[in-house]
Amino acid sequence: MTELALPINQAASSPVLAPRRRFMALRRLAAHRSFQIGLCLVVLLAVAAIFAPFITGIDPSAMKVRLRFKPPSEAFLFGSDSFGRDVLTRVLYGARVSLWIGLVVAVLSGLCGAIIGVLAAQFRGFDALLMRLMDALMSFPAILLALGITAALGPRMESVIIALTVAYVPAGARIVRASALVVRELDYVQAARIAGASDLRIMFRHILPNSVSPLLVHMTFVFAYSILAEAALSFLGVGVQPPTASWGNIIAEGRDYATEAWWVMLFPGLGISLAALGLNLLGDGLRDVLDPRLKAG
Amino acid sequence: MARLTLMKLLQAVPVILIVSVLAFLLMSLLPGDPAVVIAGDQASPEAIEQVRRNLGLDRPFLEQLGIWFLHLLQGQFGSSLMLNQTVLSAMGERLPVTLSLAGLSIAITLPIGIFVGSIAAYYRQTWVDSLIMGVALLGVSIPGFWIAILSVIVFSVILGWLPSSGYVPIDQSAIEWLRAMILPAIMLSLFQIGFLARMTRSAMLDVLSQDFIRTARSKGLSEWTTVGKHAFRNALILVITTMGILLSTALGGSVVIEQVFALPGVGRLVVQGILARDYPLVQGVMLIYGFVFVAINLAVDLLYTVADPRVRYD
Amino acid sequence: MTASPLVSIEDLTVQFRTDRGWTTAIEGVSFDVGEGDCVGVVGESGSGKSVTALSMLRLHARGTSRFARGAVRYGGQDLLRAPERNLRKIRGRDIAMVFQDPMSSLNPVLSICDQIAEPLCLHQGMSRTAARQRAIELLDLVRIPDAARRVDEYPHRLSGGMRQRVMIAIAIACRPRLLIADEPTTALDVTIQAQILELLRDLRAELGMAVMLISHDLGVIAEFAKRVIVMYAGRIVEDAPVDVLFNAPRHPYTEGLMASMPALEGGTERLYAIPGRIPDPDEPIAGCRFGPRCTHIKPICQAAVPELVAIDATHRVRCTPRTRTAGTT
Repeated sequence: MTELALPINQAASSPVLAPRRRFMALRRLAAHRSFQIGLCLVVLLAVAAIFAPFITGIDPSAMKVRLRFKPPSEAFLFGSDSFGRDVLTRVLYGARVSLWIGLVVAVLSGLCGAIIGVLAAQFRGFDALLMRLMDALMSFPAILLALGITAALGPRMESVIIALTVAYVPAGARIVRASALVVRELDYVQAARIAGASDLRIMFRHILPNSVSPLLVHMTFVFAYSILAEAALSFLGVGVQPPTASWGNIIAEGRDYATEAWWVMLFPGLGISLAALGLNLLGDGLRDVLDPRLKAG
Repeated sequence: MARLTLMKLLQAVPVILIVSVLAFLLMSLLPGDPAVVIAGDQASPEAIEQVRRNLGLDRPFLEQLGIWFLHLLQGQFGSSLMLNQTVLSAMGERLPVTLSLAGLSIAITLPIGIFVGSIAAYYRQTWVDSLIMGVALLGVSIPGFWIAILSVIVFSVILGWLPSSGYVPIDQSAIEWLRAMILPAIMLSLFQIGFLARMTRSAMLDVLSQDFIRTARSKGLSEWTTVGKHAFRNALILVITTMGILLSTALGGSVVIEQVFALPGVGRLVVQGILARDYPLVQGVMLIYGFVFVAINLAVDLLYTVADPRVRYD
Repeated sequence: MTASPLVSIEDLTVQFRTDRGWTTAIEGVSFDVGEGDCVGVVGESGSGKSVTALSMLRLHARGTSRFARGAVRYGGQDLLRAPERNLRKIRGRDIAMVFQDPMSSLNPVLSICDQIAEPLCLHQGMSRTAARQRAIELLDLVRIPDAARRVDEYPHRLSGGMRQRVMIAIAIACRPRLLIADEPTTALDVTIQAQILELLRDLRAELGMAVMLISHDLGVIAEFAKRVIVMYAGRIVEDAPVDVLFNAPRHPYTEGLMASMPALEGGTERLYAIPGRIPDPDEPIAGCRFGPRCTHIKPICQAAVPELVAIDATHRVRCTPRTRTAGTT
């Protein structure tokens, strides 16, 4: 039986086309509705956090006992709390802490996950050990694990970062390992191996760059989860400690008089929700564009 | 399949060992001298020495680990310092509360999450999909404890429909139990429903684009049979794999929700333990939860094998 | 052609939604399939042959395609516009389909029995036990050894060839009047290909159904079909009985296809390849869409889109120079 001897349209897998594909991905991202909304939200919150001192000009811990529990007004846009502190100012400064923790956890856990995942995929001897370790870490509910670690390390911002990083590394490692295992079998990686490229070169030059997309998507979601988890830890009293404002501990403080002064806990909660919403939208957009298997969504 | 089961069981053994070691190591994370940290800054040297001896902290590290394992083999998970109780009995008292909460929450989550996720996938890129996915996105973005506090204000304080806190055992009064648990369970479910709906939708989309769906349509099957039988059974296999995560977030989330509703569950016990520096208690609870989830993940794995004929026979 | 064809496709024009609006995948496709006919449709990938087949049962993914013009007439209905309910009664009962990839076309979590029994229970109201019995007979019919045992297995336990036999068993379960086979052998090994084709040929004779075979492989078509429709860039370019087409092709594209087939008697010379590639559906091309690749292109070819012209009772060609009466070019 004969095939039609016609030149076949080259499939897009050729490495020569990669830059063009990357450009296409960027263009599709820019046109993606949830990515647009998510990006706007995240940028807006980040700008508000970074420029907090210029936006309010009030000291976040300045107490004015005369001005306790003022409802939102022109003077106090978000009202004031039990110490007479400006809630808007505290929410803005809290954003710095909460967003910073989320960002650092996302980046750190992504990096550690990438290293562990690639090591497990490349050096098969390590694989079983590393993956059982990840399984073990994943056996603890994330928030409980983080709770235990922050409890042991002491309630500080650094503890929260370490705890959440440990809690979110296993998922990242699994994702990188899974995609690395696929990539290392691809023809061009095999070709590089046959051509004598070292393990390290193959790992960093070929496998890692190709596992980046799913990891990036994952990191965006970890960013969102970390903000939620930090808030929960601080709410439980083992996270960021007052007087340093974080979204979680403002809610915890405001909780006791939530019925009378609802504004104290309302606005930081909105902050968390908007940040997590923005990041989730961003992650959805990235996933749709970067993960072709799920592009139907 | 027997071989696969055996393999999974064997794989769980090292995980259990590592879980035990991790829980043990928790104590060594304590900065400085654990005995001092546990006994408190103002404790007398004798009291500190007492703690040190009671917890075996005066022994060499490896010996401590050995004793730790020996106790585990004997089913001893340590004793709480603040409660004068073993961890097991302290947990046993509070487990019904946590299980009620997590169980009710899962019972709410599963049908709703799977149903709305499937509907969204079927009506993809229509307003139905946008609406469902928008709400699901809010579910995974809004902090549960915050919305829980707001819900207490609305339903308990303002409307007075439900109690704002406290627990009634189910064998005392099923109705009061439900009244006490329904709001916490719903609040705990919000994230889970959002999460499950998003997972189900993407699993369904994946399946609906497969060739065998076209085959089913080409046979003349109705949309209901095509989607409800051919697509759903395949998507369900993908959804089963998320069951472990779902249970894990349910129990994790219950720690926070129990705090909001003042429910005397395991989560509240852990938080009390942490604030009272009762590290053996925290350690013990974490260890038991760790074991439980090794078992749950194993069960999910096996369930997955049963559900998928491709794995079942290989 | 008989007076009243089984299925009649008229001016079928299908468009797909893309990022830049609607793109026309096939345009003005018209042909008839008579009772018991054996039609082959050939063309490169992207020529629109699968789109044509899927359109006949309206099996495209929902919301992504539309029928801009045309009709598919069957039993007094236009299948493009018939209510879904009526269409479901035709699918699998009167017109059945076999798809290209037997690996992905069977549901992995349902047993073979379930999947064959489905159309039987649905269209013939059979009980589960009767359907199971019939499923075993059907597996026998498609020459699967040890059918009584195989019937309870799941698709992943079968080889590609066996799965395609199961697909055929599902398709012929209700004795359809037309079987559409969309590249049924493309995903299979060469030796298996021959077996599947032979099976299809035998079943056609045995069951007296019409078969529409779609392939990019002219060899498969030559062996199987009595009449061949050649498609290029979403249009029919030639339609003729198989011997006429092979002995006296009229369209330059068909000639190119012939020339690119390896000759049976041991030629060692290089195979001919038609230069260029099939154009994208949106690509603006003046006049004949094969023009840029045609070795006989004339100015008139770019002036207007050529019509599909009947040069005799059974032969249609879409090529302006070749269908004009001699002397005018």
